[in-house]
Amino acid sequence: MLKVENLVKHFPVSGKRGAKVHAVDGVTFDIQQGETLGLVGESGCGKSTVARTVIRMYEPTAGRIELDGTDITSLSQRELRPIRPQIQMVFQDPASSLNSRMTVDEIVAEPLIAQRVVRSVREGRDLVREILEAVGLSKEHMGRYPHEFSGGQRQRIGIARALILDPKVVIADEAISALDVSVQAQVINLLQDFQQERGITYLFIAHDLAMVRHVSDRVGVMYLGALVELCDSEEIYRNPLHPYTQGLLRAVPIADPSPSARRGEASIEGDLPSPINPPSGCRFRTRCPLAQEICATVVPEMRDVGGGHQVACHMVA
Amino acid sequence: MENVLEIDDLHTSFFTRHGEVQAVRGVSFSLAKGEILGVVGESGSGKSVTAMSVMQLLGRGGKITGGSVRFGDTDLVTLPEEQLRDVRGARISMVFQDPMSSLNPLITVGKQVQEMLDTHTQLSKAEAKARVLELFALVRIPEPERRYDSYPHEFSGGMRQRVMIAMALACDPEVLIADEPTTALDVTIQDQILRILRRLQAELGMSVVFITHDLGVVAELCSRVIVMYGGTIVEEGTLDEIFTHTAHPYTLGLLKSVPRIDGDRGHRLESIPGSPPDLLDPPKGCPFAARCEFARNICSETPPPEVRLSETHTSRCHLLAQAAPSENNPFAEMRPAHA
Repeated sequence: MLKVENLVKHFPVSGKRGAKVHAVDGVTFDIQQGETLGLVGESGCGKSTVARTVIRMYEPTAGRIELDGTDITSLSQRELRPIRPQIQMVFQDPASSLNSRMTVDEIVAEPLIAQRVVRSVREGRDLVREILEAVGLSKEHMGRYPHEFSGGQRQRIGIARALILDPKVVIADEAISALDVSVQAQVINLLQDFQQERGITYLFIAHDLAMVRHVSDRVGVMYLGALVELCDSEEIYRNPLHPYTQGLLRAVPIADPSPSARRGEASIEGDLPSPINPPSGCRFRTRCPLAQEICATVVPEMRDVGGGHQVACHMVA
Repeated sequence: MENVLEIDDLHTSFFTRHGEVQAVRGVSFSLAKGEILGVVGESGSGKSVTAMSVMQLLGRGGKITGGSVRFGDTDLVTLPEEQLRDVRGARISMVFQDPMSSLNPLITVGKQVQEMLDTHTQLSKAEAKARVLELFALVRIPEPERRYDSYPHEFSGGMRQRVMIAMALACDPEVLIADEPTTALDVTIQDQILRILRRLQAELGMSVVFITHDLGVVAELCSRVIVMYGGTIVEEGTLDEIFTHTAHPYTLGLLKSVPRIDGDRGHRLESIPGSPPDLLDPPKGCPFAARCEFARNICSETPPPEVRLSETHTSRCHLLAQAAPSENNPFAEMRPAHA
């Protein structure tokens, strides 16, 4: 359904001629119809840039993006217009991604009007009511403004807006990070119900490894602009191969005080290097406990080590 | 065990143009010497306002409307501002979620920590600088000498939080209140900071109040837990009591709604329906009643009394009363004879 090949996105650095932020540097993955692919990684790893480049909010520096068999990498914004309904995004902060001066029915009807499915909010009322009910809001909510809702309800409005055009692919970029724990589960269950009913394909991006593992069929781990490991969600916890993935897993606190859940060893030392001048060879080598000479000179390629488990590390046999 | 801090029936409100927001509604707990107490709750539960009330840092519109905060022999609520200043930052200190907004961008980090010592101690300039370098080493800031002259923007989020911890520890406080200090950080950096806090607590014997929404962090760090909801404490107990002998429906719901990294996949998360109560007009019964799957008529009518389940474990839930029916009651077996 979605195929991304060698995606590169560099941003210029203001005031420094020639300097570039290597936000995404050669990312490759595909997602089957009805599948959820999770992307995890810490801030600055490029996961949100991947999302925004895939929907062409950002122009890719290089690479190829294919949506349901159509190459959309270099389509003009005008050519993209008929494709837009097929790929939608749910953002992190429902408060800032909803126009505070518009009522809920105006917000949710906006994509319908932009796509010329309907000509006015009034004409779209039935469709809006239907989708609002599907996300657990009622028609009484239609005339209200975003500030009258709680964070969880606002995210439901954001989801209704993303789903009203019946997209094939939905990208959820930290869609639950700003919500309270008890409300996160509501939103996750809602997204999963829609997937069951409509066969939606999800790219689910978050820093919460446990949540990503819970919702995804496969998980990709990113570090400093590159994918370092990609495999089945069960496999990522049972058999993580990349030293970064292993460290990341050790750092996740477990809500269980029993001694068997405790992990002794420290996770990863140090801070993320600058993406303007990333380390040569393997980008993780400056923090990697296993790094050898080769890691500084040769960029490790992603390779399949069996059963679709891909990893980019010189030290994995 | 000796208590360093005793909070009794604390009420704190914010007076806004919409009316009185009763953010903390009768909170009582104590902090024992040398323990790490976790305070868990979601936004609006009153956990941060409780901490701010202890420090008397409520800002405009915020007011303690009842109760006491005993620190040694003194009640901080009635202490004059001048004397409070000797306590705040020196004997009780605080670390916040966002280190960038707590640091002055125009002053080097070394100078900022040193200012703390200038205010609260009699150390000479050279002694104070030596102490700052010692503190930087303590929180594992690499190359303290060189880093002393750095500005906050030259530091990563994790390094800035280390500076804040160094500042909080500068005057050897008896109590450290940490309000979501790792929430804005990546998990690997959070792990580094939690390890530093755990080591420092053990070495220095401080008492710590650790406020968080993350049950995982609580399990990693704390020995005792308070669970807050709607401006009240709903459950209090040791780690084991809260996690494995859970006695409040809200705690139960929280534990079930987070997926575990080591757990089974494929099942549906059990979410808690609805959203927290509006504290402009707090519910008259149990604050959780409207979202509770076990709620009965009494729950929305009468505030639940505190039921003691062990020397360390208490819960405020009508389901724990002897008279409560056994069906649809997850705590039927736990009901104490006296309740």
